[in-house]
Amino acid sequence: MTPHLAALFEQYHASLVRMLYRRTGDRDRAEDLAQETFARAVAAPPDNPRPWLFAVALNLVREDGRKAVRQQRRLQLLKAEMDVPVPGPDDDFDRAEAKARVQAALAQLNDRDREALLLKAEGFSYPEIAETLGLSLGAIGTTLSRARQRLVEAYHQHEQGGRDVAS
Amino acid sequence: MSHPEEPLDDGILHAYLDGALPADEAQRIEARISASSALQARLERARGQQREADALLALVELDAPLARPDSAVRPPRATPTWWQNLDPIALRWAAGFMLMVGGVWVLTPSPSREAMRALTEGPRMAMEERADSDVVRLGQDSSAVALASEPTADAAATARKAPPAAPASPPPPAARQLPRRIDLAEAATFLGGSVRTLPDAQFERADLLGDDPPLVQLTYRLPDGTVILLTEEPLASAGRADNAVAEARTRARANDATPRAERSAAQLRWSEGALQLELDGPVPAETLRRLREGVQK
Repeated sequence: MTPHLAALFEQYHASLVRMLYRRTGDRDRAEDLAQETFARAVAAPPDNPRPWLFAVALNLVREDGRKAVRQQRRLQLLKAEMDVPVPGPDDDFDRAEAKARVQAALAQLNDRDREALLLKAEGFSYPEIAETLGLSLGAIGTTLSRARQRLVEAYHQHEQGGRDVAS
Repeated sequence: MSHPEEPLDDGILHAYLDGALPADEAQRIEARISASSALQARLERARGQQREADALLALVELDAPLARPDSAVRPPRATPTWWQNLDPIALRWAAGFMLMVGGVWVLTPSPSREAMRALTEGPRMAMEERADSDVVRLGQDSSAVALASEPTADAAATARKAPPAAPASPPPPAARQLPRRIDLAEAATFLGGSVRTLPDAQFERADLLGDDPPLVQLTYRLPDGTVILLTEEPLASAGRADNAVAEARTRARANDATPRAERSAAQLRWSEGALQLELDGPVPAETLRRLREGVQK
């Protein structure tokens, strides 16, 4: 790895894995996809690395999803079953439940909204989000506004659903 | 982005909150908001959504820190090393002097240099041999390696068909002893399905190994990083009468300029050929286990 790519890795790897983890809900897969993304960066070093790395990573997620949509659905069902939090200290229990609800809420957003939101959470500027997702700069505010609103609404719906089941 | 008479949409309010508007635009928005209680209420709602969304995303964090591959990442140097502080002009003079000394040394015959070359050639050749055999050994257990070292009837047939090496050129890749010959059914067994129909095996390229007969090597990559090289003799076991024609077609398919996907599809129809399989690159433990089980069957 060249010093330039090592610096890229140092700078963006954690952020990329976190974004991919939020996107996929699977840490191992997130790390694999990040590795693959950096492997591609080694093969073709990008000029503008941050948007490039995240765009490639998101493309890999989408390609992966298209290839195995049915399998992924089964895995998601399985994962939903496995994600039932293990009873433990109250804080951990509440936190795990909230995390599962956020992931479920994120899964309800469309690709564009979800990805814009995840990139913003990684500190991307509006021009960087536009470049990464291939959107116009003027559309980013509207996309983020809609994404935030839907995420919050979906989260509260899941929260309400959980209370209904519990009562 | 907006004009004084236009209504402000939520996208502009979020862009304003995110600090994404140009300064003059932000000032205009600010003036309009301060003059309208309805806009102030909408701005507060947008701010609430922004904060809540950020807080929700912060809940989905990686629980444990990421493991850093030491070989991949080295922290940048905080201070320059001693040689970075040297005068570049002095360095150029020194480099020139060293080149001159080196040139004189090379042009002068010397018995000690011959001895040094003899010392370095041996280990280098041994390393090359070892690197070559490592590729073969990956994914193989000791019994498979033992099989590889014993010439089988098939391997002998392949060796007979391999073209004679030109005196001045390195031996063609086809001449290399491959670890174990398997057929399609075996490949399907230990890879959990037909190699050619594995949904996640991505075809990468086809190479011709040798000219007569043309061995076709197909490269597949699994998502877990496993690289599968399938070496085929498409004509040897197909029993075709018109081998020469088929051979020409095979060569054309491997070399022509048709798109890769098309070429791949054409070659995938060659399912009768004998197969040899070797693994290269990082092989995950689970794949290795499956391979070992398959080879031992």
